[in-house]
Amino acid sequence: MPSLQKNYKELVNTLITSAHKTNIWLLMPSLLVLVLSDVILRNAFDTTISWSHEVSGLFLLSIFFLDLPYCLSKSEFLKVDILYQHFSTFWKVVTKKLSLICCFGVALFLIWQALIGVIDMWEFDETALTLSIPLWPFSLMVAISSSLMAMQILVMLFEQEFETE
Amino acid sequence: MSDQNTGLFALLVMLLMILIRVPIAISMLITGVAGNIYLQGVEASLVQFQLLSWEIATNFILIALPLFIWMGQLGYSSGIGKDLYNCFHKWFGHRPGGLAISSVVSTASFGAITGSSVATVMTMGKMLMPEMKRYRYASSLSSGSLASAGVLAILIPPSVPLVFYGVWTESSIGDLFIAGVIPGLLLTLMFSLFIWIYCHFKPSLGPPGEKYPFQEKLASLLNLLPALCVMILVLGSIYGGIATTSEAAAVGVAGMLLVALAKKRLNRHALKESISESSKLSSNIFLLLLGGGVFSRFLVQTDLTEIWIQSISDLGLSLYVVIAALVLMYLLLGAIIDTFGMIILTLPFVFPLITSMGIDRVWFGIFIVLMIELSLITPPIGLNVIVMKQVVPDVPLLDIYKGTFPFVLICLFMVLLLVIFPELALWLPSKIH
Repeated sequence: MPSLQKNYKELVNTLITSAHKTNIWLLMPSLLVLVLSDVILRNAFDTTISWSHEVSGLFLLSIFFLDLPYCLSKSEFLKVDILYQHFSTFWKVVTKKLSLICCFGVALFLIWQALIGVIDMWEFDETALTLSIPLWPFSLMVAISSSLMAMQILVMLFEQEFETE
Repeated sequence: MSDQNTGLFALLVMLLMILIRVPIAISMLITGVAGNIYLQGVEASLVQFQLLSWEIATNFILIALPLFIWMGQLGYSSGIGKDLYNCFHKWFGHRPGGLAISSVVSTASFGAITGSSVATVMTMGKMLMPEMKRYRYASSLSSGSLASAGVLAILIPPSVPLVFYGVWTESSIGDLFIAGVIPGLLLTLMFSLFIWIYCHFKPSLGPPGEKYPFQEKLASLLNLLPALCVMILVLGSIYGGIATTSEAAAVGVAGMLLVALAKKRLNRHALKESISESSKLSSNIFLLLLGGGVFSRFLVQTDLTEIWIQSISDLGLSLYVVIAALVLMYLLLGAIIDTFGMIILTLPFVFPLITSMGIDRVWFGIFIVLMIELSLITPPIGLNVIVMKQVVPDVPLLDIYKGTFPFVLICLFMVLLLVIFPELALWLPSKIH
């Protein structure tokens, strides 16, 4: 059982790190190049990339959602510590678990709405306005990122040792 | 349960969740989504959530957020802070308190590039505190002035909290940036003037340093030119009509990359760290915007915001009383919540109120950032003070707070000036238009 848990934890960690690395080496540089190209083309050559705004927006959507599980794993979400620091270890454990369950609920909701989005976008063949790319893969990406978030929460919920933060 | 009671109940649950350390964005999302489902049913809430999350995440204006953070991170890793200090120290270091004045000016300038108070205090503190110790500066003055100068980072453009505020309130980010210039420069000037006067009467607190020949001063100034050019390019492209704020952020990143490469201060690790930090922070801020968006839409359904505005109007309070109450509220909130938390938690209530009272949204953006600045240097949390304590563990926390106290008063004086003379924030945007 511990080895299964360890493997699961490693798998989740690998997936989350890969998503974060995709942001670092692919999406953020692509976003920069796209926005910059548009500025240069518009000002220097009096032409513009008609789809740049919309595609930049889709890049941004991917960046935001792909890094959510990484932020969660690094405990980067903004919290208020004022009462927590005075809690006993028992209450710290209880509130930490409660907080994770709340995050899990949000992750499930995100998966649910994203999957419904995928079905709708697939059914109605929704594409971007300025470029004929389908939108459902982006909604699917939201569902996958949210699933990663849920998987990471399970890792944190069932972690053996509780670190007193 | 009536809609208003549902709203109040959800608000209480949200506050309770925040107090037991559920992330702020998650607390807002849960109560907002649950409230919306209760009032409108599952299907309508799902559609609303889908539209909202898509609308926020693909908003072109928000591109400024990861790109400005990236630009700041590049400035941080390319050692521009050291160049800034070298320059200002050579120009002002020989005056009483000159080293502290140089620190304030270089910290404010470095902060303007990075846009992050904490990174600024950490970097400049590590570099400047040993220098001030060497020149026998009083520890409260040196640590207090540095921790306080860090707050200028978020007022002088480009500023990440101002982008956040602009997106949330649908205000022009260009106007917000330019509106922060005069208050930011004025505060830097007031901080420096205070140190100079203080050290003039008590020279032992900040003895004068050595004098440098003019050629050396000039050379140090030339060394700053590349970074200065990037800043001029960023702001110039916005106000020259060449680029939007988001595009200007991309120009800034490219410029900062070139500067760091030219100075041979960029390696793979630094590049990776800069992108990683910006991607992480942006994602975190996005979740806050989403949570805030869902919760405020729920509040609109309950009519709670309208009732709140009506009740305040019925009290017949003058504008100054309302602003004084807001100052007090932000000072108290600043003791427990950080920058973005303060903005996102209060705006759903405060923003409709201030717009109904006819207060300019750009002016209010500067006001709110000033209040956040104060919270960074006031007890019990004062994030900048705590960071400074990590930099100088041998200086007692109380000494640092004592050192920041005069600067807190100066910031409050700035708030007062801003209330009496709103033109301090609004004159430049009006000229640009």
